[in-house]
Amino acid sequence: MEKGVRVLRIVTGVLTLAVCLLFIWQAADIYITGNRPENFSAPGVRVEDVYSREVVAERFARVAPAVYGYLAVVLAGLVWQAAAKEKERPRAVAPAQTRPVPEKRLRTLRLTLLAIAAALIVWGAVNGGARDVLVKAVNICTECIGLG
Amino acid sequence: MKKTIKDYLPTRRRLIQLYAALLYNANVKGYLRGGIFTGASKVLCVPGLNCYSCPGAVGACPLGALQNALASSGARGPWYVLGILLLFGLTLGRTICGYLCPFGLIQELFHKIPSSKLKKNRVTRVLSWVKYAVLAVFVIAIPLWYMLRHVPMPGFCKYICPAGTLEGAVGLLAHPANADAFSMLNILFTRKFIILVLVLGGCVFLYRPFCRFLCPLGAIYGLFARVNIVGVKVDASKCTNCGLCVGHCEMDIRRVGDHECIHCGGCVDVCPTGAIALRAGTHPLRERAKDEAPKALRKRRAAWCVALAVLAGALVYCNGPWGEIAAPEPTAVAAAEDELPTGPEVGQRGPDFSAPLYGGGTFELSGTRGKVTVLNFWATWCTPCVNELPHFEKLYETYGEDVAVIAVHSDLVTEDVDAYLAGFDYTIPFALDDSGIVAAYGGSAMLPQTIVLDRDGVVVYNQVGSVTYEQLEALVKPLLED
Repeated sequence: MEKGVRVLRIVTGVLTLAVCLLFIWQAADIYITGNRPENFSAPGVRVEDVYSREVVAERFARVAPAVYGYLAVVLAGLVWQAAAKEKERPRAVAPAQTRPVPEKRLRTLRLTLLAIAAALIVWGAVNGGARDVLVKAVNICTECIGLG
Repeated sequence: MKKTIKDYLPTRRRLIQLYAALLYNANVKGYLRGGIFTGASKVLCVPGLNCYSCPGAVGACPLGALQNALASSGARGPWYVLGILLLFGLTLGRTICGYLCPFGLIQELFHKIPSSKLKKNRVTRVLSWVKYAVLAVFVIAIPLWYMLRHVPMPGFCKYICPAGTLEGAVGLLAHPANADAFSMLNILFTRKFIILVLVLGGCVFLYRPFCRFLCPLGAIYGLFARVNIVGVKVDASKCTNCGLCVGHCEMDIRRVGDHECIHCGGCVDVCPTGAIALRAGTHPLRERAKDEAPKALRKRRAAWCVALAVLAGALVYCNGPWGEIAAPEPTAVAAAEDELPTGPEVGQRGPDFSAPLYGGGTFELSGTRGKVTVLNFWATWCTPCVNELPHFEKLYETYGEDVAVIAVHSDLVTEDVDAYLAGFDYTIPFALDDSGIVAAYGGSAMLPQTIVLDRDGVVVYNQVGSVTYEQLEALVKPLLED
C-alpha cells in the first residue's frame, strides 16, 4: 500500500506539471498567434482580437481530454491516499528563542495601537477615504484584474 | 490505527475558512448575471485576500484598497485603509491567513492533490523574505511613483495578484454576458494567467507557496506578530523547547507565533505538554483536546449559530433588491428621427445627451451631428483610462475639424477633476456624467469604454477596454471618407 501511494504521488506530480505546462503553452500560443504580423491590417490595428470566447473554447476543447483524465487520476488518488493516510511523526527542530514582551508593556502597546487604528479609520472616513474605497470596489478597473 | 468517520470530516479550521470564503462572496446573483456587487458594504475591507472585482465579493480587498489609497494619496492620505489594516493586524494578525483568507483555502485544497511534497528548508526560508520585497516594490513604491505622474497604478493587482486573476478576471470572463471582455485580453492577461497557473501548480508540491513567498498582505500582518491579540501562544512555564511544534509546521517559522506563523493551530495537538493554545488575549479558543473545558463546546455552538445567522443575513442583504447602489437612470434620450432605434448597440442611433463641461459650459451630443463623434468614458481613479487619454487628445489634434471628441467622467468622482486636469494640457472637452450617460450607452462597472458615432449619430463601435491611437484612427478614418 505504502509503495503504491508513493508511485501514485509521483504519477500525479508529473501529471500536474504536464497539465500546468499545457495551460501555459495554450495561453502563450493564443498570445503569439494573435500578435503575428498577419493579424495586423495596419500598425497597432488587429484583424482579429487576440482572445475571444470562441478561441478559448476551441483551445480548451483541444486539451479537455487531458484535463479530464488528470482530474480522474487526482480524484482516484485522493480516495486512495485518504484510505492509506498515515500520520507522519513530527520531527523536532530547535525553536529560535526570543525575549517575550512584558505583559504590561504589551497591553499598553495594544491599547495605543488600537486607539491609533480607531482614530485613523474615523479620520479616513471623514476625509473621504472610505468613499474612495467604495468607488474603487464597485467599479471594475479592467487593467487591475488583468483584463487589459 | 483504524480510521473512523471523524478522520474524514473537515476540521474546525476548514469550516471557518469555508465560512469566511462564503461570507466574503455572498453575492450569489453576481455569479448568475456576470456582474459585480455595488452595495454599500464594499466600503468595508474584508481581512483576507479576496478580489473586489470577483462577481461574488461583497467587501473590498484590503490590498487593492491600500494600493489605490496610496495611488491617490496626492489628493488625500490613505488613513482609512491604514487604520483598517492596523486594526486587522493588531487584533488577528496572521490568524487571518490561517482562518479567514479564501486564497489560502484554495492553496490548501490544491496541496491535497497527491504528489511528492517539498518540505521547508533553508531555500524556502530565504524565499519567505521575498514577500517583503513585493510589498515594498509593488504595493508601496509603484503606486507612489505613479501617483507623482497622476496615474493610479495598483502594481501588485496589475502585475501579480493571482487571486485577482482567478476570482476577478476568470470569474467575470466565465459568464457569457461578458463575452465582449475577451476582446481586451492581451499580454497582461497572458502573463497573469501564467502566474496563476504557476502558483496553483506550485501549491500541489509546496504548502501555500503564495502566502509564504509572495503575499504582501501576509507580510503586513506578519509585522504584528509580537502584538496581535488572537493567535497561537506558548505558555513558557510549560514549554520544554522540544521543537516538535516547529518541526511539525509547514510554514517557514523559526518559533511558534513568529511573523511566518499563520496561527493555524496545527502545533496545538503536537505539543506533548499542552503549552500551546490558540488564544484571544488570555482567553483560550483552542487547546489540546484533552485540556478543553466542558463549557467550550457549548460556547462554540453558540458562536456557530451567530456566525450562520450573519451569513444568512449577508446572503439576504446582498441578493435582495435593496443591497446595491442604483445606477443613475438614463435621461434625455431623444426621440428617433427615423426608423433607426435609439440605443447603445452598433447600428442603433446613439442616445442624445447633454452634460456639464469641466471648465464651464455644456456639451450637447446633438450639436456634433455632421461630425464623427468619439465618446470616451473614463475616471481619474481608472489606470487604463488615464493612460489612454493622450490617444484621444492626439486624435482630436489631428482630426479636430471633422471629429468631435468628448471624455465623460464617471458619476463616481473621488477627487477634484478640475484640479486633476489642470496638471495636463488636454484640449479635448471633459464632461461629467450626471445624467446616466454611461448607462444609456450600455456601460456597467467596467471602465474605460469607447464609443464611435458616425456623422449621422449611429453607433459604429462600442467597446469596454483600452484603445490605442492606431485603433482609434482605424475606426475614424473610414467614417471620414464616407
